[in-house]
Amino acid sequence: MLTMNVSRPSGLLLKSGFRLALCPRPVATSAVMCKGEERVVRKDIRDNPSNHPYRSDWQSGQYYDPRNFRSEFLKPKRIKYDYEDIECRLGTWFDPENIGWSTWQFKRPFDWNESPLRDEQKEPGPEDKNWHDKPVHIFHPFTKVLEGEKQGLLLTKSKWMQKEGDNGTLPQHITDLGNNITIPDHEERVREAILYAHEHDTQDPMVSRNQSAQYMLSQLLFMCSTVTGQYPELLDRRVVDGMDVTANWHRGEDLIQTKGKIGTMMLSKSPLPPFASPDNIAETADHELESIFPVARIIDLQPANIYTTEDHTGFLDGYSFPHMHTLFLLNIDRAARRRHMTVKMMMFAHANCLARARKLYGDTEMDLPEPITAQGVAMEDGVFHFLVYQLNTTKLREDGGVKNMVWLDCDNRLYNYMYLMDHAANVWPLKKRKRWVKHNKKRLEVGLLEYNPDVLKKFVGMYMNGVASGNQ
Amino acid sequence: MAALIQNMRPYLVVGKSCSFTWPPNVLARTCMTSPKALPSAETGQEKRPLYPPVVPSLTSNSEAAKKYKQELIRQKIASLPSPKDKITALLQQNRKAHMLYALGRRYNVHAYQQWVTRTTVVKQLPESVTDVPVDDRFEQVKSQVMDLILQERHYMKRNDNKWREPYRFGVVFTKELARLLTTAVSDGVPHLATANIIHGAKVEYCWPHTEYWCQLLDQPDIQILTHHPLPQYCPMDSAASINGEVPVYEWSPRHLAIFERTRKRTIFPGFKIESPIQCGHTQFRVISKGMSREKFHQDLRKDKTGDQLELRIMGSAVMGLFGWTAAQAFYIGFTWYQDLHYPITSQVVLTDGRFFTFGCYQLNTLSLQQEDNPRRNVLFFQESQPLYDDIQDGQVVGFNDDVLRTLLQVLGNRTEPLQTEWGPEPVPFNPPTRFNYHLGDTQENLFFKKMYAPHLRKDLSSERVVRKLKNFKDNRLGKNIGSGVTDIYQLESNPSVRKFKGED
Repeated sequence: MLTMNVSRPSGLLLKSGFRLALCPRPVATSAVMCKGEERVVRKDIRDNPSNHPYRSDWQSGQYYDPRNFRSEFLKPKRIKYDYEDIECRLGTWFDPENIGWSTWQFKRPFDWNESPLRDEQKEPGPEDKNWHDKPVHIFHPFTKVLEGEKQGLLLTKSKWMQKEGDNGTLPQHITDLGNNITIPDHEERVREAILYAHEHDTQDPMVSRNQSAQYMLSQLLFMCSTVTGQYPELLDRRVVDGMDVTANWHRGEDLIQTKGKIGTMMLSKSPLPPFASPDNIAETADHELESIFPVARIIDLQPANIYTTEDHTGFLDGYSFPHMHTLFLLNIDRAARRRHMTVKMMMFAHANCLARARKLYGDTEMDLPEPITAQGVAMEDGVFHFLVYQLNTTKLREDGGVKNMVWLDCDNRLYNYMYLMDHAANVWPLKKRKRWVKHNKKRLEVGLLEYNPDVLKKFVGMYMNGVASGNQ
Repeated sequence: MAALIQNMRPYLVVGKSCSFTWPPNVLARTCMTSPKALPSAETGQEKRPLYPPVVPSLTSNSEAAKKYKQELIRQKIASLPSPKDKITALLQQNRKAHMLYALGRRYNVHAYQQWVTRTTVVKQLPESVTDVPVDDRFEQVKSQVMDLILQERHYMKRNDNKWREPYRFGVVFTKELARLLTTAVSDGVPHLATANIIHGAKVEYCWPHTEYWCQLLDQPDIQILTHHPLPQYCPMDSAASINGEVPVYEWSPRHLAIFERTRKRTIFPGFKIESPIQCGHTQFRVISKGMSREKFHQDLRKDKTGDQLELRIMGSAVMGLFGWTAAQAFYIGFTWYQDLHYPITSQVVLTDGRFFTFGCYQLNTLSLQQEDNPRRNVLFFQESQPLYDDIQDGQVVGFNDDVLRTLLQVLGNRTEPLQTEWGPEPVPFNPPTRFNYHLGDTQENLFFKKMYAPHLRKDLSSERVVRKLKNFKDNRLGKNIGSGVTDIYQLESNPSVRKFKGED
């Protein structure tokens, strides 16, 4: 401690009679040693707060990196006292209010604009070659849209066919396919797969959601593919992860782009047959899109000024599986609700179809002679949402005319898995954590499993679509 | 049961001194038998030995006593009913173990890996794999695989560096390939139709080697599990396993950058013990995480370490498969002290994306800590061959049919339900007791009881000991009657002595 004992003066006694005091704290360079009766005014850095990020603390000599400690600098710090009244003659540094390590200081808040250490982080501006003054609104895979399905329908200019209440139904021939085709031992296998997905893959008491979802999907796909012997056209399918898809379209005055890498996609050599007859297509011209006034259509889409207007299907020309068949979305890495997942499916299915249409028919906006179709399955912890999308027109700029079609079947619960938690087994929180959250990970036993086989039938129907007709 | 084992915690490693000894009553308690173990009247007719068996004392710290205690504990563990109890009992202690990983990065680390797992390597795949009939639709599968290669290398838009890393490419390609092949082949091959394909589950296994413990931590990229196990490649006592050469590495693994950690040891083959599917069939491993072929070929001219790549692949096959099969053996019920009586087999495909290496492993023995164990584990290994040479103008150049054929044979290797008994024979635990609390009070019994359960001394004596109370104070009378009272006796023993109240 700095309070030194007068009766036992410390420090070196110099020949000239001065006592050179030894201070464990580094002395600011502005201290002036004086002789005799002069008082020393020792300027401390605490008096003159500067924007220089010098950490004036007992352990001084260390520098903060303002980028890491921004909040520290924004807090007001008070200067406690000036270092005056220091009597050099006695060779003591008298510190009347030395209270040790925790002194409060007022400092001016740190000003980013005047700090010499601040990085020059300039975003690329109009000098970039891809700069456009008009921003594009990007729908990326992590977008969570405010209005849900309504906004998705607006953005893709589609009509929700066969909508009954909140959930819809799938087109008839998919459900027929599902009812007619059976996979051997499917109930047992699905049950085992569900239990395995929740229990068995790791040594931890609980399997993480990502892992169980991925396992579930891979097992379902594998199960469906065991029927390849009867339907050898199933070999003409390819399942791919991480397809990078981009598509741009104008919607009114706004340019909308769907871009990003989505989950698992199944591609096939032959395109899916259309789901609606030309009469139904012509009927949609009378349908009015539901507006979400006063909210704009492009809400929650990320605006960007630097972009290119290329469309890309995710693979180059000449690939042998050019048609998108089904998109599988999982509830991985970010919790997504039904409205987010359905919109994502819709937008990416639309983007795929649009990119394919542009490749086939060019960039001009037109009503397509042959509609292009795609499917999507979203899985959210055992709840399945099915989507069937049909692209009829690329005239997306105006609101009137023929619409695209969407069939959505939401909230199909495949299983209800419940387990008893051991309440007494709360894990004590680690002291390292800021928030002392207790995670109860002890489970007592495998609980109920209410299995709904209809959902699996729909899944099988979607998988088999395009390969077998419903009559078999 | 677990508490009992905990009371007799073993200290197995030679060279560690223990300054702690169990109090004799605790040891004696663990040797007490239950009343059910009483010899019945019929068997009591046989001649009973006069003296108890001569075994080392449980209370001493001599070498013989330590070994005896070890043996008792091992018998106790072997008599536990389920494999899960055995694993829990064996792995209770945190012990210093050398952490091993499947891919070693030192020169000739494969020799150490073979020594530590006691594996011989045969440079040929076994006949049971090469004799597997290849599917009729080989041409179709071949065109599919070529499409897949083109897709991954040529057609897919994978712009960012993350997707172009060799490891990521290898993993993606292997997953797609496995998916494709299991889909295409699954109807002719019944074991794959009901198989589980698992991505990214960890495999951990610990075992005692002669002077230290090892713990393997491993994460194969894809595991295929089936309901029934694969048949054996060669008989357990065949020439390969008994006379095969195992390189010897007697130095400390510290020299190979293998470090000891005090870590809770684990045995986990990638699935929990309650899982319905328990037999491992094939592993797919992507090796480009640690090794890159181009770098090796660059070093070839400098350091003459040209064969290290192949040897390292072989070493990682050895370690990965050993850990996997041995952990499966533990789940069946065998332990390091209860050896296998039928071999456990599995297969591995190591790949780079372009080069494929196949291995078939047969686990013959689990007890590696005995030096006189004649059996060795065997790895049948085929060196790496490229699947294709290059891609030019959207065409695959130099496609190798043999590699694809071997791959289909490996995947199509059929599993059979086990003919022999599943699991080790149950072992009863009969410790030789020094005394039996519930037997009659013969002279020797009394002597031992007094020695080992001194708190029962007063109960066991043949005479009724009557203790006179010295100073009896009657509260009712309000005065100290004095020591002349002779008719007040205490017949119960001292209540402050702690008695053994539990069940035997």
